[in-house]
Amino acid sequence: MRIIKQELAARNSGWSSQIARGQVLRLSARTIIDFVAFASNDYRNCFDQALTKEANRCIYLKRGHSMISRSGQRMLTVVDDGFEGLGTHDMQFGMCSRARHERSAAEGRLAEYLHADLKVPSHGCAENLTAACKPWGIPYVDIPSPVNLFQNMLIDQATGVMRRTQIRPEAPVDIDLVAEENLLVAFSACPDKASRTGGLEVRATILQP
Amino acid sequence: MTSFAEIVLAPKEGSAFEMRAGQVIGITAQSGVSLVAFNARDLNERFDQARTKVYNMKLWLDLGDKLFSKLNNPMMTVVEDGFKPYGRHDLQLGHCAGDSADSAAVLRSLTQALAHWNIPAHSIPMPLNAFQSCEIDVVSGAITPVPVPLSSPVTLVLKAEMDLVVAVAECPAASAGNAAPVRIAVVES
Ligand SMILES: [Zn+2]
Repeated sequence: MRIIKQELAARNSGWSSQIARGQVLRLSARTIIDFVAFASNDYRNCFDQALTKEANRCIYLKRGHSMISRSGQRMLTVVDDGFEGLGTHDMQFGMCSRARHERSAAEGRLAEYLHADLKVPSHGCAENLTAACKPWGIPYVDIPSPVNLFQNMLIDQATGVMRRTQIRPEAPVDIDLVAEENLLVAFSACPDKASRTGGLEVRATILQP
Repeated sequence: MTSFAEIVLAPKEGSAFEMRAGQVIGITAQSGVSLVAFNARDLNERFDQARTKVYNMKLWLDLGDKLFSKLNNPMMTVVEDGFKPYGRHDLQLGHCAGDSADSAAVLRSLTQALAHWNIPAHSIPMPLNAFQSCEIDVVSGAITPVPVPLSSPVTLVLKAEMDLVVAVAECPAASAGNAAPVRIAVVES
């Protein structure tokens, strides 16, 4: 595959790009990535967690699964997943944000992030994705809840209670997604407070098969 | 408690109304009901499945749990749940909990009901699918909607934590057999 574009998103920053149908987006990381997509011809037709879980009949995004838009179209399909066998990609959570971290601090719940000792970041995925989507005229309220790549959650079968885990790839691994339509794709390299690293950089590569 | 609004929904019918903070809504049904909410003072602030689950750190709602907005504010609190012995209200799937035959009709009903507030279809969030249960295998991730046959109507009571515009629609798919109409009562607490 030919490399069309390769960029590095720093820890706790956002990234966005247009991608053409048939091209492959390769995200390489060992940290949580909050990832969203929008149809290039209508940004209101964005990724939807609920319809994706419905279509795949699975609460996790796995190899062979497609990310589905609000209008029910396939947006991207996972063709390769370096996290397979290590953990699952989450579709329960939204984006972390300054507002969310402040509420957690006020309610004494920062320990749920596992590393309460890490300084509360000045911004999070909500702010990163808002900045990344701003050039395209998409405000925060219209950015959908993401698929949280490399965010492995522990869910209790009986109670449904969710807990964060520190399961991350030890070295950067790739997840490859093929674009099923012309899309705007965007992500945040999460200031992952559940990981001792407090978030790391993410490499984004767009490949032409 | 004095009821000031009572609404009866036929199959697939929707309705929307305003609630003030502190008022409670009782939803009595034998079939599924998709519910969405908006901040009455800023209609861009919408109910959010993900933010709700993060705040409660749980896949579903128990007594005392809150429905949250995308802007991280509490919108409603669960104060009574007659469905508890039968299943878990869904917070995973789309309108009408994954029955694509009905989700389009239900979204249409919600859109019509919200037209008065100029809220278009694409601004209607994925709902709380009340009285609609899903089986979830947390290891494989497999999710399967499981219709719950209720022999008589049960009631879910939610308290408004902010001034709201609320929209509801009935989902026939989630019921088994002949369901009673959905009854909605908004009352002062
Ligand atoms: Zn984050």
